[in-house]
Amino acid sequence: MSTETQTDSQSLIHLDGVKKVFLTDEVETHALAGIFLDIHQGEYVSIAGPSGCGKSTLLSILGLLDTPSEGLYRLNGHPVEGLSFADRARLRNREIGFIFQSFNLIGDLSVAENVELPLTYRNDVSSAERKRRTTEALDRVGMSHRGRHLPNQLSGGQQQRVAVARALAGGPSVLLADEPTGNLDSRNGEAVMNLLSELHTGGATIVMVTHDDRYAHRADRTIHLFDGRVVDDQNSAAPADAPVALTA
Amino acid sequence: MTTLLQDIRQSLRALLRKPLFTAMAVASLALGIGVSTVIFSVVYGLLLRPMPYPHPEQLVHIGMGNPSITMEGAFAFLPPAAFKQLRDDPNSGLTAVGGFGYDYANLTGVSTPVQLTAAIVTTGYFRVFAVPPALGRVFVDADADAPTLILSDRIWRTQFHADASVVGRTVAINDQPRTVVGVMGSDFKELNDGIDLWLPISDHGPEMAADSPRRFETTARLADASEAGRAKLRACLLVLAARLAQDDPAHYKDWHFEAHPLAGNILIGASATRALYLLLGAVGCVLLVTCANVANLQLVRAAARRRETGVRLALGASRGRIMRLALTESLLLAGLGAGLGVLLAAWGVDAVAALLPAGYSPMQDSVRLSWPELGFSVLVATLAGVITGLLPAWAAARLDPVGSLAASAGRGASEGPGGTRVRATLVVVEIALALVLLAGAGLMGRSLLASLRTDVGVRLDRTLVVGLSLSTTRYADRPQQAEFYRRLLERAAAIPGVEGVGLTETVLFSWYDEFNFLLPGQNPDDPAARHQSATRDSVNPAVFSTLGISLKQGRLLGERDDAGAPLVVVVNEAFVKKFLPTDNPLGKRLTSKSKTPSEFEIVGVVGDVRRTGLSEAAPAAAYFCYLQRPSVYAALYVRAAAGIDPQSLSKPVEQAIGQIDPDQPVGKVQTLEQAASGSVAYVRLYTVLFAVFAGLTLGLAALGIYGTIAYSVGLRTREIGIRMALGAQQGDVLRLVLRQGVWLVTIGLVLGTGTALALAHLMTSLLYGVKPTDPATLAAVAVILGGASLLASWLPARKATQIDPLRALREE
Repeated sequence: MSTETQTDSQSLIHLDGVKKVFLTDEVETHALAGIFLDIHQGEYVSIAGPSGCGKSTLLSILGLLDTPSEGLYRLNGHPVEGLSFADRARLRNREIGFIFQSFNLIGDLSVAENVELPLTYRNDVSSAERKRRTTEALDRVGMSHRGRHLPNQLSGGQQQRVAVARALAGGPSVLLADEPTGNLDSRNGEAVMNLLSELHTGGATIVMVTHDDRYAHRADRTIHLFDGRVVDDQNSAAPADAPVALTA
Repeated sequence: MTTLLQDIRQSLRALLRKPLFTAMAVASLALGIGVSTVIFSVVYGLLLRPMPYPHPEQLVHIGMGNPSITMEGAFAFLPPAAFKQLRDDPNSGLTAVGGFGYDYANLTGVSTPVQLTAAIVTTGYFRVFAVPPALGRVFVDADADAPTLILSDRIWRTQFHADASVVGRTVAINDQPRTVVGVMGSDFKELNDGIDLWLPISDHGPEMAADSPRRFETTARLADASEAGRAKLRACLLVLAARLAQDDPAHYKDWHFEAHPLAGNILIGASATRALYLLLGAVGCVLLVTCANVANLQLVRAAARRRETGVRLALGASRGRIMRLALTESLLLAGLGAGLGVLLAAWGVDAVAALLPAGYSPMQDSVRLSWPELGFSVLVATLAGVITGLLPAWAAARLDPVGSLAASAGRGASEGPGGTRVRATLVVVEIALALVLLAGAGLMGRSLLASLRTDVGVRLDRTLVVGLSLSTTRYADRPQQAEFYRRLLERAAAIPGVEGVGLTETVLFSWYDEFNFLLPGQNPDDPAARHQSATRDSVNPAVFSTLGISLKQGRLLGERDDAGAPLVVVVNEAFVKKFLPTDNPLGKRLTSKSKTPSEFEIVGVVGDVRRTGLSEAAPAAAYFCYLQRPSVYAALYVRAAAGIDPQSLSKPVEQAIGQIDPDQPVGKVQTLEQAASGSVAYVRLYTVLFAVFAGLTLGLAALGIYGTIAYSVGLRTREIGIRMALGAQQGDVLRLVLRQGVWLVTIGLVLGTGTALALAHLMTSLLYGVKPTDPATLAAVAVILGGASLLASWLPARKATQIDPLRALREE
């Protein structure tokens, strides 16, 4: 795999010189120092790097939770950096599925309601359709039998499976997973990774942040970040010998 | 719609999961909405509810005003000449005009004669209200010169056993036969409360003569209730006033007519109306404090739910949806609060209605919980829901999803300075409002105390008062009246346990008759003499010693001042100060302004008596000897010997009256203390209500500051742990936490004091013996509020001192 990132208008995700600067009092923190990146439909990408390298910031920008301080971001061919909060919310709802480290299920809602939640934020999905898609998503993760349960009645692994179902329910273009195994023991972590692999095999595009090399190498492609820059981008089948600076 | 239902379901579930939060918020809102509904029900029932007559918008109340005599907002009733000119004016645009006056009427010829309260009305009176009678008919013009009467529902039931055949029956009123022509239903409300029967007044009798002292409270019905109809009436009243002033300048110069829509404020007067609106303002403050408290609770809860909100935002929820969910929850809380508040109000409305002094308003039984009041509750609940939900909803919608999700992962868990500032501001507002209400309650309380402690000029203890109204038939002339009183005083004085007896014309602290007079050298056309009057009392010589009225100059009245002796009068100090400030009053002669003027020599000056009420200045008074100028009205004062309960004398006194004249009914029997206390019943009611509201607000404000400081301590647990690990003593931590509370309390007290001073003038008319800006009261309430608030701060501060530094550091 080439280590050089190219601009590609057919990319699902296209980042061109994305920077993110946080201003705290009078201190500037450069969380992302210029990211050039293309992710295509059906890819399974892992983002790795040491703590504080900008992994989570990058994922927030990819997930439209945050906006770049500088640079271009195209999602599915559409530029998103100028979108309003409401438009980003709408796009996030349709194009992005989130899987969090701490599951982030809402304790007051049942499993099925949690999965249905992103669909309730759309005006064009009927109640019957929402139910059908919720059931289908729960079926895909093997949790349909626990639909009426509350999150606190499930194990950590089961909660993460429900979180995956919630991410799938909206039929997003891409699944963004932030340390999906970080709060799980190795057995449950393995199960969740297997589930993500299955989804990828089924055609899903997945971008996963992880600091665990075992899981990073499950992805087709691993991107290493350091000090807010991509220092390595390679197919997992051909690990790089050493980090190489890809961008200026 | 389905998503809204989902929001409702989710909100309900979330509230059930936090029972303590829900209970606190619902209880606070129930209190706020409940007390607001109670006072609104009183205001609505007494002031705003449409009067219970057909087309009430057509009704007007007409009085007369004179800028140099009548107070602002007050009016005088119409003299007969003015009434008749108005009634007979074809250009007034009125379809009916009615005149009303009070009198007593003795129902005799029954086993126990009864003194009744009668309304002397013109025959057009019932046409104004257009309410059909329950039985028989109302007055027609022919009744003006016929001995007829109409019974009230109460008298029909109590004296005539609800006998439907009473119509057409002849009964004896003041020993004269009158035919009952109708019975009004219990739902008939009129201008004054407690009317037992209505008597028609003749157009040709002495009561309607130009020189009659009778004044008519006048109501009328407009043919056209639009602005055009009202303008027509106003134009007519201008012409009438000018004509009256031209024809009789001695009486009508500078007088004008005033026409107002007939509504509750007319019935209870300007001062009581202002008091009711002030109370409504007070409960508005209680409601605001409630809302601030609940908003504070919700902000804390919203801060605790940042992760959930962050997840929803990450899943694509718009800010609108986030706000809607937060508002749904707060509206649900308000709805639950309103439900409970209405239950509270159902009890509270009855309680406050029972506290209203008798005779406060004829609309008193309109104070109830009905649809308009419930509508008010719904409106208030909705407003409370929006007010309490708006800040948390806004805060939730403005949440940064990245930050809130990071917080969930343990990276930056605090709410941020914005939220803390908002909650601190709410607490400051609560304290300021609490101070305003406490100041109001404090001022009312001091006013009540000042009223009760004031020297009224008479001894109130150990004295029984009995009202009497003699029959003008059996006691038609003065010697007959004087003889009745002479025998009564003699018998009453002989009752064992009686220390002294006194007689006045009317019961102190109730109504009084006027003495219109000319000073030496004045003639009736003299402008200064035009409205010169004092209270008039026909008394026995012993009344001064019985009531403890002190002699200041000259002599008191004596038994020798009888019908054959020169006419004399004793006046009070207020009289001298007002009318003879530079002269020696003794020996001066006052000439009564009546058809047959008489001259009275001033023989003595006595101390002042606050006879119009404890909190009113003593009016100028003139006392005549009952042997020279008796009246058919009387109040008998029986002073009990030490150790004797004056109430125990009522039976023997009633028996004494019965022995003198078996047909003479006994009027109201009460102690003088009760009569005096009745005059401050309103002040007492307002004080109690203000105190209740102020207490509620104080509690809510203390709860608010406790919650804020406790939450702050929760957020600063680690910081406090570090400080303690570095060697901070418990006292250092206590000071650290208390400092925050002290700041909030100080700012709240300063703001509250400023607001209380700015609003002080609104209370002026309700206070007696204390200025609305009284520094002692303001200082006292500031100390009370400051103390309660600091206690509320001290509790969480004390808890902070017990933080285990090791544990606090480990928790992070």
